[in-house]
Amino acid sequence: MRIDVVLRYIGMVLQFIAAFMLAAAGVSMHNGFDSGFYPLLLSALITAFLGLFPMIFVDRTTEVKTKEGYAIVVGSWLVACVVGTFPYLIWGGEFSLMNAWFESVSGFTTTGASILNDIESLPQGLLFWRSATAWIGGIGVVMFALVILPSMGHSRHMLSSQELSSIAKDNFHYRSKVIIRILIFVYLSLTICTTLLLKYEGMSWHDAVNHAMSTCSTCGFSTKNSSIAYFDSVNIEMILIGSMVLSAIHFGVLYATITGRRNNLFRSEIVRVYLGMMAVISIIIAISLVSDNVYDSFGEALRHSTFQVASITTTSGFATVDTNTWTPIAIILLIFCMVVCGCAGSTSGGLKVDRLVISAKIIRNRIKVQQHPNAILRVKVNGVVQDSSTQNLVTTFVIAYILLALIGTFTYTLFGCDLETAFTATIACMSNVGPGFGEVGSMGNYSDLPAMLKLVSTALMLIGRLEIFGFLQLFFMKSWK
Amino acid sequence: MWNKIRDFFRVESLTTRVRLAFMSIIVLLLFSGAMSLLELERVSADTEEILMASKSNADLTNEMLTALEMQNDAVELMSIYGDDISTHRVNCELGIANLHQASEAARAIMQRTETPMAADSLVICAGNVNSHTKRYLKGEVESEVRLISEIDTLYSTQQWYIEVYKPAVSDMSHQIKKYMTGSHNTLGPDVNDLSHTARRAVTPVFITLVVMIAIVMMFYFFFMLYIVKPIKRIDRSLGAYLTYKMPFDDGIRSHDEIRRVRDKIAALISKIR
Repeated sequence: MRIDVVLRYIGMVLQFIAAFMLAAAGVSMHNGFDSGFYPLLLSALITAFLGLFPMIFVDRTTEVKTKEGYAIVVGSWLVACVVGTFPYLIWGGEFSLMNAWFESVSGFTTTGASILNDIESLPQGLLFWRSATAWIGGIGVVMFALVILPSMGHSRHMLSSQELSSIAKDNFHYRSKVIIRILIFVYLSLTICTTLLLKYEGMSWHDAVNHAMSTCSTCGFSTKNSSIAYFDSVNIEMILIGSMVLSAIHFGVLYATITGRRNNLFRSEIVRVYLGMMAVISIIIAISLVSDNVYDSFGEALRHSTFQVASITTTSGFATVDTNTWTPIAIILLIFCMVVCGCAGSTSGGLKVDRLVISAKIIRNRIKVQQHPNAILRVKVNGVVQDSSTQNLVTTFVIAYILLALIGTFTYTLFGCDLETAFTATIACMSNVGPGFGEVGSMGNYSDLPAMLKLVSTALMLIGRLEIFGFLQLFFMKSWK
Repeated sequence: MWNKIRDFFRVESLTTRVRLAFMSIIVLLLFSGAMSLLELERVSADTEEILMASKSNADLTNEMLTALEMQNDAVELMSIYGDDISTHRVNCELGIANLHQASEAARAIMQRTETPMAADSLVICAGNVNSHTKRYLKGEVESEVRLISEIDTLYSTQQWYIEVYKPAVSDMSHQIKKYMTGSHNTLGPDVNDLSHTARRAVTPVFITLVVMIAIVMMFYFFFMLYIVKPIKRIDRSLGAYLTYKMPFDDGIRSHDEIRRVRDKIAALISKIR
């Protein structure tokens, strides 16, 4: 593996991140040089410096091997998370070294979990940087850099292949270069539309931009301590539900819908399952909340249940109410949403609806084969037959997910967490949802966890974001020939 | 357009690369040093501010106690021992003015702290002592006690001193003591700011140092990879040619000075052949 080439590409990603830090410093400057200006400017300079250094020695290379591509992607994520801590650390406040690392990883992995007890005390520039980390991470740090880097030839394909989920690529029927452009186009359009709609509904430009970035990346970072509950507006909640749901649908499908192609939103089996699942769960939760007298009217219960289901299924993690006070049925269903999450090829994390559908069909076929041993049954999604390697990949992923969830829960309980907190925090971090239940509920945060658990949480976030095997491969690099 | 920019920044000379790398390290060192100086200056300024504030608190306490003592001594001599010389009156007036001034200054400082209400008690007590002294100087006390007790003036002013004036002075001393012992509280926000500034002073320097270590490590890596390793390769290849007459091939693909040396050696070998 050519480490120099890997360092050059990671350096490019760092320069890209430095540009965002500079933009955040611009926000601080616009806000009358608030206390975030100096940390952001300093961080931008240091990050740009670090990114530029490898370019002095390493020449441009268009050919990147698979192993190198993988190292670039994983390395970029890790280094992005490290440099992402700089503005927080320099600013100080609640950010100790571990807290800054947690907030940075939570942002880049679009988890949206926070250690901040007083978000509103942060200067505007730093809040913008916080949302920007989520926005960059939403589509992938490398993917963004690929758009601005011209003539990368084969390496573009190699890098995008490493960062995109394997099942996500199936729904794109384009070349890598086009896939990246589609992703960025849809992502940008969604963000701009959400910003304008939120502004129209009375948010300030600062809040609108931050919430739009956070919504479209399905991160869930808010500029307010009480998250979306602060605004107490049905219209804002509806806009956010729409944006969150769209952001959790395969971007290729969204693009196909906009451009009037065949594989559009209305023909997608996955999208049907995804939307249907959300609708059914929202209604069941609403009925359960009304029957348990948590809310007086069905309308109010449905409003909150729909928002929370959308927020959790899309892995955003915004909150309008404290879900810890909800009924056990509601909590169980929300945990199910935390596991399944959105569609592949979107900004959401978790197991993904695609894998759920394939797994369900594999189980159905297994039952049928037991009844009819000679039957030849195939697994089809959207009318496309899924080959055995895809099925194996899905099954392995599900098993790995369950195993890691158990290991994570065990680790949390080792440090004295109750079972509810331990299990939901593990799932919330692995699926990049953010809030769980118990101590880490929708109106709580991760600040009270011991430093070791914060570290474990960030590892889970990275594992989840890099689709488990992407991260685990890091420990088996030597055996990769 | 992009290609032109890229070509402009393309570095192909080994000398330029090494020069740029060293310059980067020097710039980062300077940057780190400048930041340390800047931040230390800020910490120093903040510390000086806190020390000055602490000194001004001590001075104010001293001023208040002196003014109170001045009044108290004068009133005591006049009311208890019956002295009525002009020096005592002057001392009283000076004490009234000084106590008023110092207590107002103390109030201004305390208003900026987390307990602004404490300032009011201090000023009320100071006003109380001053008003008693003023009343005594005007002779209002003597006429009052004469009317009430109908006994000897000296005896009744002694009683007034013990029952009215002394408790007021005690209250005032208590308030001054509170102000003095609570001066750490008045400095609280400043001290908090100082710890914040101190942390801010250390963190950027620490981050810059970590980045510099990373850059130095990268420099070492690139130096080995782009300078030492190719030279070793040429040496090995040339050695193999001279010893075993094996073809001179080192596999260098760079476009820098080492490549040019390699090409010249290859040309020399082909000439010898």
